[in-house]
Order: sequence, then C-alpha cells, then structure tokens
Amino acid sequence: MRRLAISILAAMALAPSALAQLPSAKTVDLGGGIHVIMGQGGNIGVSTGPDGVFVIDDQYPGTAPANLAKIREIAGAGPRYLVNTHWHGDHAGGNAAFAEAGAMIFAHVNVLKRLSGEVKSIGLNGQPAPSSPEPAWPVVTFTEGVDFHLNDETIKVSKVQSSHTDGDSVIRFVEPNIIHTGDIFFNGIFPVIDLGSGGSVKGYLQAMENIWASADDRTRIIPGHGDMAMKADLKKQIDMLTGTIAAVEKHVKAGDSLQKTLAAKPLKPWSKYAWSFISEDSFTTTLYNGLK
Amino acid sequence: MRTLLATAAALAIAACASTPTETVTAASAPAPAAPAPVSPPPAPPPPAPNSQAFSRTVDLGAGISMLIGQGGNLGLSVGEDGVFLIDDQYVTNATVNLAKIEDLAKGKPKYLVNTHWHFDHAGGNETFARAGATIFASENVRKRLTNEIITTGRTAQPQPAPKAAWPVVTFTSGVDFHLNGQTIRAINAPMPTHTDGDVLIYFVEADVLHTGDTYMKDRYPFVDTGSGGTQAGFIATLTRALEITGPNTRIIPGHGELATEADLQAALDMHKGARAAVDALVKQGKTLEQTVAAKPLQPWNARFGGPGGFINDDAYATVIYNELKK
Repeated sequence: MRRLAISILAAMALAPSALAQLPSAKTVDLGGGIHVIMGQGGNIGVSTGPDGVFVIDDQYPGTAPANLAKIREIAGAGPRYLVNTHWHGDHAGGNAAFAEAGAMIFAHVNVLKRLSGEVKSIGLNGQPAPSSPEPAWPVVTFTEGVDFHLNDETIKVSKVQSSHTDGDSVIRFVEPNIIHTGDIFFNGIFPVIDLGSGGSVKGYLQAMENIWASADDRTRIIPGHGDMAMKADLKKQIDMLTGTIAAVEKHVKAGDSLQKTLAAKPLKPWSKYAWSFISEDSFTTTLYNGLK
Repeated sequence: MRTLLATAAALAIAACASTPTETVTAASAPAPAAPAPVSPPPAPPPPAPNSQAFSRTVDLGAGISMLIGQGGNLGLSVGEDGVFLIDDQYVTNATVNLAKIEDLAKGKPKYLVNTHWHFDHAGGNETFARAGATIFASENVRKRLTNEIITTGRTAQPQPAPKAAWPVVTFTSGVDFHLNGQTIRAINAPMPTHTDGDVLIYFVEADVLHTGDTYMKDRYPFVDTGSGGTQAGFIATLTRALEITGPNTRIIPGHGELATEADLQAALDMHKGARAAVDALVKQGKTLEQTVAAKPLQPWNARFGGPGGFINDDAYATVIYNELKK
C-alpha cells in the first residue's frame, strides 16, 4: 500500500510517462465559449473569446504539447491567462510549456512557494518533493483571490482554506454559472488529501460544503477529476466523506493504531470509491493521519 | 453647471502635473497670500496641452525608473520577464508615452497597474491595452471606469470609459508580481483615501514604493469625496505605507519629486495635525465659514501650501470639516 501511495504521489508530481496508458483526451463544450479538456491529470477549463484565452490548469509536462494544440484548435489562439488550482504536477505540470506559449500564470502564493521549493512538500515517503524550474513558477500570486473580466464574463478566483493542499483555488464563471473546483472535488472517487502539502481532512470537508452552499441546482461543476457534475453529485461526495471520516475517527478516538484501524476495514461500505490511485487502505491511512 | 464643474476639475487636476517647462518649486517656497475662504479653490490658469511624452526619467536601479511628465508619475520596471508599468497618464499623451516607453524598455508594457481610476493616471488605459498590456487594478477602479459606481462631484464622468480601458484583472486584497528579479506588491489601501480604489505598489528587493495619489510630495491632498475618498483614509494609508518603508526607501509620489520616508512621515504628521486642528474648532461649535476663517492649517502652509498643488489650506480644512460633521 505504502509503495503504491508513494508511486502515486511521484506520478502526480513528476512522471507523465508512467501515465501514458491512460485514456486520451476528450473535450466537453459547455457553451458560451467554455470547454473542458478531460484526459490525463486534472480537468482543464478553457474560456475562449476576443479578449484572450483563459485556461484553468495544464496537467503534465508531457501532455502540454497536445493540450496546447487542443486549446488552439478550440479557441483559435494560445492561452493568454492560466490559473493553477494548486501546485500538483497533474494540474500545474505543464506550466513551463504554457508560459513559453505566452500564458501569464496566476496562482495562490503557496503554489509558488511549493513549486519554487521555498516551502517543502513532503511525500508519503517523508522526503521533500523536488522543486520546479523557474519558468514553471506563477508570475502573479494572490492570498485571497482575483477577478478576471474577459470575454464578457466575470471569472472569480477564490482561495480555499487548507484542504487538498494549502494553496487551492476555486474558479467560478459567474454568468454561465459554472464552477471549477480544482481537487476539492474528485467526482465519485476517493479524493487525495495531501497532508504533506498542508492539506487538512476537516478543511477538505468544509471546503466541499462551502462550494455546495455556493452552488444552485443549475450550477455545472467541473471537478478536479472525473466527469462533469451537478450539485447533487457534490452532495453524494460530501456524504461519502462525512461517513468515511466518522468511520475512521471512531478508531482514532478509541486509540487504535493505524495498523489496527486498517485491519478493521472501516471504509468497506464505500469500496466503490476506490480507484487506481487511492485504495480503501490508502484513504483510510490519510484520514487516520489527518484526524489523529 | 455640471460641465463647468467638470471642466474646473480637469483643469485643477491637470495643474497638478509637472510640465516640461515648469520650474521645479522648492519645498521651502513661501506660502502664497491667504485667499478669501472659498470652496472649491480658484481655477488655475489653463495647463499646457497635455500631449507631450514624459520629460524626465529618474533611474532607481534594478531596471526600475520613475517617469515624470504630465499627469501622475509613472513607475517602470524593465527586465527579462517583461515590461511592467504603473499608471499611464492621460488619453491625450498615451500614444507618445507608449512610444517613449517602448523605446526605453525595448518592448511594450505587458503588465499595467492603475493606482486609481483618475484620468491623469489611467487615461491611457485603452491605448496601452490595445498595445498588449493586461491592466490590473482595484475592483473599484473598474467599477468607476464602467460607471457601475457613479462618480459625483469634481471628477464625475458622464460616459463610461471605453471598454478597452477597463481593467481585466481586479482585486480587493492585493496581488504580487514576480518579475524582473523583483517581488512587486500591489497593496489595496486599508480604507478609501484619495478614492475608494487606491493601490500602493512596493518593489520589495529594490525598496521602492509608488504611493499613487495617496501621497503628493509637499502638497495638501486631493480628497476626492465624489470618488469615495476620505481624509481619515490618508492617515490610515500613510500609516500603512510607513509600515512598509524604511529609512532607505525611495518613494514615487503620485505627483511631485522623488521622496523619502521622512517626507512621507511629515505628510502623515500634517494629516493628523490638520484633522486635530479642525476637530478642535468643530468641537467648539464653529461653522464651516468660521473654521476656514480661523486658518487652522496655517502651521503646515509653508511646506504643503506651495504653488505645486491645487488644494490650498482652506480647501483641505473644508474637506476635513465636512467629514467630521458627517
């Protein structure tokens, strides 16, 4: 399990080649010039129009050329503005290539601190993740948020409390009522809660609840991973996390060791949420460590 | 009447600008004879046509310079990551300013921050945006350029600014730029000051602060109440600015010559002293006319009441009085 978890984080941070066998990209047209590119790594949001192409996240270095080509095909131009929802390599790994293509990169200040290595991100192996080269660093950073006024739309970027990491942002396309959650929402699968990057289990649940409260029944939600969702789908995920937290917290409060907790298989009722990166056991471990 | 007022305001703000032919006035210039209490202050003579490029460049090292001409002082950072510009003066001199900056920087501005919305600072927005700059500003700059918030009084604009002039990236709690070897911090004023959308910009490594019009060297301030400005904001914002500065900080004021921390401290002391002096008269139950006639700001006239500015002591005392009576 531990080896799996380590390899997951390594893959997320660095190794696009390891993921080459994943399905190839598909795009979803949400209307009004907004598209989603779903492929390897996190979902990419694209807003097109006369004021410039606005992009949310850029997956891996290895997928960047194909994603840039796809964006040019959709938008008729390369990216002008790019926002990282957080620092992970499956969301910000393409930064250097996108910057080279002309994108101005925006992110929460902790994204810069973790990419530059000013703040170390600790993997499950206890070792700090390597820093990224300077061309990959965001040029404009914020601590609370910024608004973009582009293509007759208001795009609100808001920081999220410590949750998936300590530098997450949620992006709202106000008029078309679309939210990109970054990795605050893994649709239908166990989430990654990166405690080594300042993440928090309880913060993650609160962040999901905040997004849920800000949405209405027509809001279309682009999750960090998984298919397009509606508010009801997010509610299911919140229920899952509430349930799994309670199941593991019981063991923490009873003073059980991690080993004993894992042996009790507390997440068995939610086994359908397990996936190639996050097994029942690895999510149990995250919850245990985060709640202890 | 509104047109007349707007014209007077335009002249007044324009008169704030240094022109290429202007003689630099010393801070120690004697105060002019006290005029009769009037508000608004008398209209100054018409300014020279403001269609000339900035005339002076003050090199502050590390690729940073202060550009002095008509309208507000510009701040420029040049380096391998792109051209970064603070403010863009008037619409009428934008084209020549852009050409001169391009010549100086060997590139067009990519990043442009407005310290506030006034036309002597953000008037060139459309020209610079069309040349490829992304415009950053406080949220209220956009709201006033679009007329989403209607500005009243001296700087009222009957029509919204052209759409291309509107800032594309807005913020209410600051942004940092990481460019040309600098951390460039755009900091929202802690409360409405010159307007309700003022931003200070600090070059951390170079230790250079651009104050926008929250500070004009050795001049009484223009509290643009019609743009939401407040006198209390000058005290709050300069207090905040002095937390950022140190003894070696070079300060680019919105108007006037390069300044030091001591100059900024003197301005803060003046704002506090002026407020206390007017407040004493308010507490005695004096009318506005009595207050202005008592010349409560006399102690500061030698330094701040010189001919460089368009707000005299009577006008500033009036603003403070009205704010205290609210």
